[in-house]
Amino acid sequence: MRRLIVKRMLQTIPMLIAISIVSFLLIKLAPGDPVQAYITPEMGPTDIERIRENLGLNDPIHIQYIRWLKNVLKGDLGYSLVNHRPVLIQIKERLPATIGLMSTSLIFSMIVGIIVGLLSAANQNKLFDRIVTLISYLGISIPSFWFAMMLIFLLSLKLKLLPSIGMRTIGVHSTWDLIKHAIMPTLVLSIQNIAVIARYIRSSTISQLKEDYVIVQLAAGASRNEILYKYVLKNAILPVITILGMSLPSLVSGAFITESIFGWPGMGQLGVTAIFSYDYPLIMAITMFSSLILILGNLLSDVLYSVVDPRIKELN
Amino acid sequence: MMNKKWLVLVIALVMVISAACSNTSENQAPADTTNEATEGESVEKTKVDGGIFIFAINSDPNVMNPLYAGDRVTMTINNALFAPLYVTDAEETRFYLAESITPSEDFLSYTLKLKEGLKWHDGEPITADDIVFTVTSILDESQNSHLIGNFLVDGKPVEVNKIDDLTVEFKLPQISVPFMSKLGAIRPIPKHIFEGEEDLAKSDKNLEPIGSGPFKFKEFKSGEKLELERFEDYFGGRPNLDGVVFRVISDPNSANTALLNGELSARYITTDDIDKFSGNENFHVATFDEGMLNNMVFRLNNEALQNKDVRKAIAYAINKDEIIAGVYRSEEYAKKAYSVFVPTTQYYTEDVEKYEYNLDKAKELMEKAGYDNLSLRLAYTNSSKEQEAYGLIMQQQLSEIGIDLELIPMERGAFLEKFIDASTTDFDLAFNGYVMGLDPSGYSPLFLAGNPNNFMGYVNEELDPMWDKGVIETDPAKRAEIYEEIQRIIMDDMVVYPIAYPKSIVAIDDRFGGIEEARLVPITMFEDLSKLYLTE
Amino acid sequence: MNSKLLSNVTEQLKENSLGKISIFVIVILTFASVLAFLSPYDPNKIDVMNRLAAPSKQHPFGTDEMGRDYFTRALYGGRVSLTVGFLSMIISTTIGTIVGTISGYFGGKVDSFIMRFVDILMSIPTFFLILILNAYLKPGVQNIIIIIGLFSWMSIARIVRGETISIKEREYVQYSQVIGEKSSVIIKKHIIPNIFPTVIVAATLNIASAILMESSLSFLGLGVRQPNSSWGSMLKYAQGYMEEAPYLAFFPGILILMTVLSFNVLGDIFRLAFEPKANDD
Repeated sequence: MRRLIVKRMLQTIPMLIAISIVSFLLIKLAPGDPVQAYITPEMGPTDIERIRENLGLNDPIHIQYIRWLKNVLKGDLGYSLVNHRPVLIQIKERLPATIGLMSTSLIFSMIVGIIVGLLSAANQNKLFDRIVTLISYLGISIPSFWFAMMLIFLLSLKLKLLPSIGMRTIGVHSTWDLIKHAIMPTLVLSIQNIAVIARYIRSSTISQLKEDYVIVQLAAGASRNEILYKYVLKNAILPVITILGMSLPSLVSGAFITESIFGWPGMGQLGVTAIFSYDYPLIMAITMFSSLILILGNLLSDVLYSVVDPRIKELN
Repeated sequence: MMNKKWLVLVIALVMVISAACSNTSENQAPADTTNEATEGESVEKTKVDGGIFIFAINSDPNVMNPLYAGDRVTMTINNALFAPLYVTDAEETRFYLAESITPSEDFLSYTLKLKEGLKWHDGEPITADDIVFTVTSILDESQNSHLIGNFLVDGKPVEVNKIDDLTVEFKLPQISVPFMSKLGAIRPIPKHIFEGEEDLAKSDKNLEPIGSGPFKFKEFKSGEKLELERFEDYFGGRPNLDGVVFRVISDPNSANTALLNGELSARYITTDDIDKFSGNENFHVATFDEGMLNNMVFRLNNEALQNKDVRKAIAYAINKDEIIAGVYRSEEYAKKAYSVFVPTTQYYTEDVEKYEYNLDKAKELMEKAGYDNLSLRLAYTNSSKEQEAYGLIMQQQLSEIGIDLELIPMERGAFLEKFIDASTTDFDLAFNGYVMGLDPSGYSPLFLAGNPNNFMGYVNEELDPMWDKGVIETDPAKRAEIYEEIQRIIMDDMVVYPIAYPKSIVAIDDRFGGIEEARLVPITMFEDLSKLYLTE
Repeated sequence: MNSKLLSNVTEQLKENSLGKISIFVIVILTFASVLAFLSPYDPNKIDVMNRLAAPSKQHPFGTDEMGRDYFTRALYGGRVSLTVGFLSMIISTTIGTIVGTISGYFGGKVDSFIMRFVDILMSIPTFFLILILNAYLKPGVQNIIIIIGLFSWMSIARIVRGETISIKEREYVQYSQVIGEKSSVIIKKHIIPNIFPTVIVAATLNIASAILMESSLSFLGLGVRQPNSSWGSMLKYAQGYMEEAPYLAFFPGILILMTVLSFNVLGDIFRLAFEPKANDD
């Protein structure tokens, strides 16, 4: 068990280095020039060249990469080209908001997805099931930004129920205020995962219901609901752990758009702003951190799975 | 030697003009704001102490240090944190940190006196040392301050000396007309905080800035907000508000929604948004003139555009009325522009070729130039809805004379990098907006051959000496003649197509007062935030 | 073989009304966007006197902030959205199938190298990567197609690899190997035809996700360039007029939703038709 974790942890290191090379190359080889962050209309070409030299942008790309890597190993992620603040501090400031939003959304979508999926399977081919099927199709097909626009239109502009932007009202420090701000972003970030989880749970429950033990129990006179919650649920929920790993990419990607639309002060919003201002130390750091979240999430779900599923335990 | 003499004259003239202007424009410039303001203020309102004013900013501030602020967001914040020495505009010079500024007779040195008893936010006194430190830091190339140009005259640095604790002397290597107003705009930074810092831009001290403005730093949450609180010892009197907050809202639409929901106190709005706010009794909508001309620049390194007839054909093919209607709805929010000067500039004239929409004439000119079709690339800043709308409308209008206009929206930094270099060939036309001030000679860098601010690559050997002539002419009638002729020549050459003089529109939460005293100004919205107050 | 698959599909469709509707939607939208030129309006024709007009007989979807006919723009926008979806699917499916079969068929070092590479690409948030590239490259339909195509083949490669490994074990493939047929011939003759159904399913779902991706990018302003439109870019502009013209935000959103939904349903129908096991669900 421990060996598995250590082994997997060690595997992530070369992977992170490879990811950093890939993204460094992509960012550097793409046209666009970080010096643009410094330009004001009053400058002449010589000023621009001087700044470029000062920033080390004239060095060959591999030198720039090695310099970046050396600094990262020392714990220095560099300074933002735009606001000159240390990148690490900015990420640290933004991480809690993002992690908070992501985990709320993950838990929320798990709970809703599992309940809806189970109920849907229990009522297979009845009206409820059909409606759930249709809604889950809608859930995986709806553009999240459009869903967000519609929510803002309805709940903020028309009904004036919820604030449209940010995480807190200025001058208000209540949990209820935070919850009110978080409702729409959480919904938007969760919709796709709810649909995916519900579909997954539905089909795995249905196949469980066809297993021999269910038929035997039914024959023995146990009620259908009893079987469903006592036995089937346990076996059907196992794959949810895999889903946990599966839904991470959509959470990370979703955070970029959702946070931008709702002005949620997290890493996703920071990332989008960084891209539009060519702030490459920040872009690199955000790429690395998002990748890290993905890798660790997958690692976690693998480990959990091996804890729950005895077959994998045996293999080790 | 000749040069020096007439430069002295220029400066003297500038001073006379600004004095003269103060009479004429006093009732003009603020008139726009008071117009609508009176409506709101007819209701009796009592001023109360306290309250928080919330601004929207579209991104985190960059370095909260006036030596590096070049963007609207950071400049707005720095305006609350750091006071300038003095502000010179059309009407007058208003003194903030400075008590007075006196040029020597030869205009080669200036003596700056600070007010007495000034304090930084941490209670330390503001002295001549801080001013000297600030200017030396700006002049230090390794500090990368973009203000360095303000203290270089013809490439040589201005010399700065402390006379006593409240007096600083500046020595210029050569006479410079704009130096005095540029000096006034400097917002000093505290020496006792920054002394010995290797890289001022990256200094940790910028994270919790110590300034001299009406509000001091309280808290910053990246991506969320920046909170400032009242600075009790502000030299201009204790500010009325408890504090100001800058909320980060990157999307303009979200910002509008937030303003409507009462989550913001004020915001620059566009003509598209006016209906939402002017019909709403909770808001007070004010417009003011930034003295800006929105225009289209012709790049003369394009072969077809070197032909004057082609440029004129383009000008005739553009229907300004349609642009105003499409972008601003009516002339109430943007007047049609016919000259390269703005109407408040001295000797502005509309007696130029106006290029009223005339398709037949445009086609004729195209034919004369020998083009029946032409492909041109038009670049602009991608975040500007206004410029994009210009582009779309012009694209359609120019297709009538066989010109295929390709729109190239560019990220602001990328656009500027190409735009300021007239030799680049990434595009043939570009949208620009400039504020050049009231003195007509201030426009000369835009049109002088070889000047870095001549974005067209325009060379007119007959025009260039006229600028010099205008500067030394003392007879106002003759001066007027010269500058009017200059406008006529430029318009005849059609190297810059003037589009409109847009007005800035601000929607402010109606509970706030003191807007006139705080003064609506370009970029930072208010000049002196200490004057704003909350009413009940 | 193919006729059998086809009859399976028709069988599935008979029972599934959602499936019928989906096919109908896809066909209608494809025709509509192909025949967009029949519209009496020019999609880029500006009419500032007629801006933000509500839906009416002349303008079924109203007009936008420049007075352009919104219905016509939606048709042309659909052209862009569908083209991007289809072409980037072709790119990603081709790459995914080739990489997947090579990796699965040759196994060993080649396999582990390729799979590590796929792992790495899958660990970078692709949406962010695409965002980066799009911001730096000149925005335009071509670049969007290529970028989306180049960054969405990984999951196809994984599926194809798994399928290839299981087919490789079958007798007729092993027989061909024994008699010394060239690998390329075996792949062409035996592997590709057998993974075909899986690829079809993955490709269909890929169109759906590519259309979503394009709309998100255009929404952020990194997609098609003005005056051209795609559904995503129309939504970007509609955002500013939610108060006075909510229909501007409504129509393109519904169109994206319907299209993506239809491709997702279709993908599921193919899956059910091609994998008899799944039929029982």
